[in-house]
Amino acid sequence: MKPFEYLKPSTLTQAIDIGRQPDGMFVAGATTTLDLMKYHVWQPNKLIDITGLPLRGISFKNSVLTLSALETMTAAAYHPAVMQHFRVISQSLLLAASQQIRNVATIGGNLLQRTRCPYYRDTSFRCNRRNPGSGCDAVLGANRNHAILGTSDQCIATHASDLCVALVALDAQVVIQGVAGERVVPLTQLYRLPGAAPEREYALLPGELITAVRVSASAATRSSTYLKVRDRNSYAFALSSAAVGLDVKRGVVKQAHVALGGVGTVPWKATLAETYLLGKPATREHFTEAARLAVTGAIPQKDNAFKIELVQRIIVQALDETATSR
Amino acid sequence: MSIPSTDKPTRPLVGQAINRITGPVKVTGQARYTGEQTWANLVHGVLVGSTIAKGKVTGLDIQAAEAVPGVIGVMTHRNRPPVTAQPPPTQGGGGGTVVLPLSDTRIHYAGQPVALVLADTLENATYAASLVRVQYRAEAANTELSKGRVRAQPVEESKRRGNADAALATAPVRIDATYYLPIEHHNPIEPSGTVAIWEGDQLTVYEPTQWMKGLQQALSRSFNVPNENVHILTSYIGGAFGCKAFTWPHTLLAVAAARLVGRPVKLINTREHEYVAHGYRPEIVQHYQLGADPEGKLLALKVEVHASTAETDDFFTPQLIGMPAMFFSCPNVLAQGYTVPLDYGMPTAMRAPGEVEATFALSSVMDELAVKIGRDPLALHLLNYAEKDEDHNLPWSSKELRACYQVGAEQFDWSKRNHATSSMQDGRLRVGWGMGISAYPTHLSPSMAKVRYLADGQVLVQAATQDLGTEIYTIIAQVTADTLGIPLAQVSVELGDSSLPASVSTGGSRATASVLPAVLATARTLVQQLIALANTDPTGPLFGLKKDQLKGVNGRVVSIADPNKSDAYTELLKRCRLPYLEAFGEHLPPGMGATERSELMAGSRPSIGPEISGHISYAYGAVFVEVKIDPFVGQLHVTRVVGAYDGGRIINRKTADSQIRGGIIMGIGMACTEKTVTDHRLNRFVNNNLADYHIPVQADVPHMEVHFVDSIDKIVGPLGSKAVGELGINGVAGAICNAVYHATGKRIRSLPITPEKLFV
Amino acid sequence: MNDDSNRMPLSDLPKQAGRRDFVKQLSSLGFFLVPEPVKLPDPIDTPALPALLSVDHSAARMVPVTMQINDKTVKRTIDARTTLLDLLREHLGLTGTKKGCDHGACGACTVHVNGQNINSCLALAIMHQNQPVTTIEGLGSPEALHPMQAAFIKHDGFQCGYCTSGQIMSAVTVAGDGRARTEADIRELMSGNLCRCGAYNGIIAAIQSVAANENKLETKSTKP
Repeated sequence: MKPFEYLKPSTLTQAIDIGRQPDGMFVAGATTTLDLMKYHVWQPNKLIDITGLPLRGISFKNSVLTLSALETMTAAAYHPAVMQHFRVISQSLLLAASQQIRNVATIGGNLLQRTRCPYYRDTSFRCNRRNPGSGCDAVLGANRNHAILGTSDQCIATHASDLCVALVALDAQVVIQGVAGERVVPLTQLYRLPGAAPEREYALLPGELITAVRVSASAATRSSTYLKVRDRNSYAFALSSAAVGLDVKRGVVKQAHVALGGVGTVPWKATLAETYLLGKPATREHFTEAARLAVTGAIPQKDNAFKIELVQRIIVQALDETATSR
Repeated sequence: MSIPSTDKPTRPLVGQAINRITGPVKVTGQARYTGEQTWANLVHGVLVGSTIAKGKVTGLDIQAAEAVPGVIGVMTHRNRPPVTAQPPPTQGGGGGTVVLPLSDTRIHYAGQPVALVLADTLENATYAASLVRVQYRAEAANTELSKGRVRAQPVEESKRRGNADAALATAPVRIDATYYLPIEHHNPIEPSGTVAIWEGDQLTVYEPTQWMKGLQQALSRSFNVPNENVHILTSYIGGAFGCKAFTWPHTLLAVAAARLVGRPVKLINTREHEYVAHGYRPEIVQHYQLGADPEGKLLALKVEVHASTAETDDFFTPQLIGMPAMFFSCPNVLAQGYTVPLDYGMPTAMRAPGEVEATFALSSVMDELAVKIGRDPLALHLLNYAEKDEDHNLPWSSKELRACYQVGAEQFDWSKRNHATSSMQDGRLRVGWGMGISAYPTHLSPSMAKVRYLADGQVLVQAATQDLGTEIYTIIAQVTADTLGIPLAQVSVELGDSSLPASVSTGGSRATASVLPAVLATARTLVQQLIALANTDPTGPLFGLKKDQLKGVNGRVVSIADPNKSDAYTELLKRCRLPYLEAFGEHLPPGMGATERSELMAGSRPSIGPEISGHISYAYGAVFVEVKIDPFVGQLHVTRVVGAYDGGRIINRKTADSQIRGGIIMGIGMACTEKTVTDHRLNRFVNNNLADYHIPVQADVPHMEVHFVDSIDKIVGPLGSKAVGELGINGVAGAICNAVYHATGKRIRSLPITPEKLFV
Repeated sequence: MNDDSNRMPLSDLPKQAGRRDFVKQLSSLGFFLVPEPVKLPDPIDTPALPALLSVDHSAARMVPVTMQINDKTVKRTIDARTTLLDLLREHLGLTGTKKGCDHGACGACTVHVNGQNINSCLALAIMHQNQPVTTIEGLGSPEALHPMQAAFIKHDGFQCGYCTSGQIMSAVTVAGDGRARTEADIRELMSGNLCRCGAYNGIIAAIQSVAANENKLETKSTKP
């Protein structure tokens, strides 16, 4: 690690003020930050510890769940309201990382989780995301774990989070505090496709802090599933995953949530699949067609063509399980 | 490291399930490993590895690193103190590395050290290492086995009996299958590392080595100091599995750096460096051809094995062709190995090297034959049971494999198997049952030991061997306590110090069969010395009795004629005013003598096996596996494993059981998750960390049962133990692939079994 | 720095003739044909070196910290970069907590902070001041074992011992927090602690025995 100055602001205003400066970096749970600082991928001159800020609490009021940014993954996963009304969120959290990491990693940090692309994580490789313009060693490299959706010729790195897939599926909103005050945006808008500038990963302005994430409960968030396939039975990143929620009345889909993990450069909202399912009978045949639509535009890399097939199977199975578990 | 042992009442202790005596210090964090040795004025070292696989270093900028406050120096090829090259193990030496690190600008493999940064703290050294800038001139390199095969070279020794080609041509039933295994890494949870201290020309080295006498010799030669000036200390070892058996660059560099800076140096490999630090299991392709009669009796077996090696030297594990030649009864056999040179660092032995790859293929190919002729695979194994070693045309020293098949099958309920594929289900999940085979050769080396009986009744046993976690500490204490007739709690065992009586490397599952006979002999000698003391002490109750009228029983010298006349060892020593009595002893395997004794003491590894006294000695096993598969998304769970094993006499059922379980779990990893991924364009490993290289986690582990069939091998030594450590991993991957076939009809010949291979 | 390899004293490389001699020897026996030279891809350019942007040569920032470790208050002045793991191992002599990967992937460094198991390698010491930290040394001693430590011995939940401290710290949490109700739950919650020796079954048995004594497990069997 490069030497840094450690700062611990006690108010949001202070934190944002320090965070606006270009050489600072916020840290809370530190599980990603320290990991990447040890690999010298990140070398902030100022490390701004935000754990002293009043950003805690989980509330469920008027059918809206609010997860404050500094709550841990564990706290969120086992919260009664989350378990009851947002099964897919609880599942996505408990299938992510390890208990030790979930006990400190925060919700805010998880929204900003970085890719596991090995070419990003080792500074001796070329990576446009880490070192803009240097090239991408992943495109011609070992890319079984890489993305098939939302890629560009500049970057094919997969977004690594499980939670974000569930949140994107359920149309979560993210609350952001900055110099100009608070703004609330759909979570999908936080993530930028790599395009020509993969280094610009998140739509956050200097100094902006995520303070909370909000999700509204419905029949389709209660009846929801996170299905994750990975290379070992626990403690592994998703090879592919799907977060789905369904409101089925008299056999017909009234509302559908579908998002994909392990396959996109961002948590992948499968809007075409969601739209297709509305009004359709909740049958395997329609789930299969929804899955086909979900991977529209998928571009396989050298080693990961199987993901196009795998993720469709996961979507079908997740929808099937969700529809039949009610 | 001296460890007091705990007690167990009944005798003999040998054969019982006994808690490991290192338990209390290990579960409380008191056991100190290499990285935990502290010295005043310690310097921390961090390696910088090459980012190219082949070429030259053309520029090395260390200014920024040197400017970091706290940095003491940067060792490169320009200033490294002299190190003498050692022959690699393939040429009879103890150096695992062929490339002498920091010798010149030539790069032979990615990760090869190009600099060692030395600083006052780990934080400063790590940061400074990130600032070393290296310029290379890269040359074309190749790490793809398929491309390298045109340069394959045959291994000198092949296995040949009968005429396999002719028999294959006419066999009524034929199987032709090729099995692929990727590179794997040992990944002990404790990374390798070295703490090196020079005091004049005296060198002290802490290192988690599997072979302290070998390391002592290698460092003595490399740094041109007498053997006795080198002191190796190996307190505890945090797992090894083969990667800590030889001398690798990090050790040589830590010792050289300590000389360079004149201060103690600690160099613990980062996890990422572990993947290029001390070898790996090579990539292996096995082409098997079987010819059989319609009942499944083997008529021909032809095997061609291609194994990757490094450009710098050959590495080939002979058991890749030895196992197919010995395991089944078959009149016509041809087995030939080839090495394929690739631009990697040297491969090395990893748990059951050769055996595990071969038993994967043998278990699989026999299942393929069973499927083809519609028979129970277990019946085929019994039909082709080898009653002698047809390869050497010698009898087995002992073989209870038939009992293993029987016990394993019974405990697993194998008879309830419906042999048709996809015939068993559990809800949505497909269920499959498969079986595999295990064998591991007995290896024996000479060993020495010292046993000291103190006047207070405490006993200390010493030997210059080391414990990987297999718990040789406890079995030494068991044998000693039995022989002296004292409680286990009175025995302490000290290992892990090269100045103790010379003993064996911990590799090839040889430690139990080699060390315990030496301990037994030494303890018996001590009893004889106590008897001699008792009948010559004029003040004692047994004075004047002849030696053959006395024996040692339960901590006393006892008159055979009149058991009421006895002399407690403690009383005897106190009366004779002796603080202790000690015996020094040894055990030499059959056919070994003074030459091998001095080789052992000098740090070589005299060894025999599997041929011992005109017999061939192997440990055996049979393993039965249940899998449950969601074939739609390709999720595989190994849900049940039952194994039955003949390891010769089992000294401690608890620790032997754990060794087998650990092997089975490593076999599950081999089958389901483990693969070191190479970027073949850049010729570098890319999943060089424990998040992306998937060793099994708790959730991967099934219900398991381990059974030992009773067997005492009289040929191999006085205790009758063969081998256990590398027995459990064998056959597991094959059994899992066979179970997957049974469940789904998918024949997996390329490991690991990733989800996409299971789509139905 | 320019290429100065010409004036470097080059030590002899170890002999590499073994393979070639061997090839010759076998070919002369007519055993096999010397293969065609392999066709390899064109040389690859050295990747561009990332520029050394604003190298900061200033010394490490030393900071005073006050820690609560095993019920003791500990004050030290440390490099701000020091992880909780390195503070324990390198500065406080509490080497029972192990370093296996230093990146949160193996769990060997698991300690309790605020009663929860965390990876101490992914924690900066300075961020955990005044929070109760318990290490394996704070759990029990060889003379006075914690029930989980005793259960690990009884059920042989370890071999080499290197992952053991971390396993036990997680095991204490899992047995005590009531979240694991089945064997499958325990296996899942313990999956952040890798064991290469494969002592996993003994670990489960140890946790089950302790949890059963604490009435934290409803059943030992796996739920369907």
